Amino acid sequence: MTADKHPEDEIAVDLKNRGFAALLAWLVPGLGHMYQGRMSKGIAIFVSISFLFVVGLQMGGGKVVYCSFTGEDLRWQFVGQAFIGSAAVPAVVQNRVRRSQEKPLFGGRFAPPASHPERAEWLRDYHAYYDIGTLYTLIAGVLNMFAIFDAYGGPAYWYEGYRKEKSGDKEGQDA
Amino acid sequence: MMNWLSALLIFGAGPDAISGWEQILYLIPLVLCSSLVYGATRHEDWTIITKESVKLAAWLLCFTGCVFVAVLLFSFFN
Repeated sequence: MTADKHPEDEIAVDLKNRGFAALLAWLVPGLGHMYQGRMSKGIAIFVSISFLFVVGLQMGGGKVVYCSFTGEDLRWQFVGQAFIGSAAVPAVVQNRVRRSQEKPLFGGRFAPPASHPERAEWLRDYHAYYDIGTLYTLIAGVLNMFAIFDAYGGPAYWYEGYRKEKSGDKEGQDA
Repeated sequence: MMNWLSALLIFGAGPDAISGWEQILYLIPLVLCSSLVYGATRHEDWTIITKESVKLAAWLLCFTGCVFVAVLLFSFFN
């Protein structure tokens, strides 16, 4: 069995301040990796996740990401979208503004609908694009959750059990 | 032949609805980005990341393709 040597063993990764890296990764996808000097990974993560998020946001006219947990409008998708901090923070601020009956900031972006008829109007105007935009932004957020874990704990092959599972699979195939 | 198939694939009603075929096209960037990010968060070497991403993208496309065919057949015989 010569599977002890793994090609990724040669790669040294300095996670630096892992908590700070995770915070940066939450704020902007890929930024935590760039801080750790993992530039190519950081760029790939930034481009992929930002592409999904921005395209999804545009498809829904900038109205698919908002924070609302009322009985009338339970926006559960925000739980996934909130893993992108640069979108979650303004959405939470807009929620507070809306609840205090003030005029929304940033031209209404990331603001929850004022009423149920307004939300119905959004769905009618953007139709299937609203759902696809919601899906894109939700998946972008969930993917950023993986990226945050990677920035904090390093890649998954570092996990001891992962290597054992892989070598176990290999042995099973060889037998 | 194509009439029932195209009628079946129009999910939304109204003039602004996206046809089913168009909705399927939106799956491609989603699968590509998801598999790339997932692969990148599990490995550090780009050769392995690329290999794993291609494998995952193929698996996702096959899986969603199978679900699509199953639902299509189910709708046809129902």
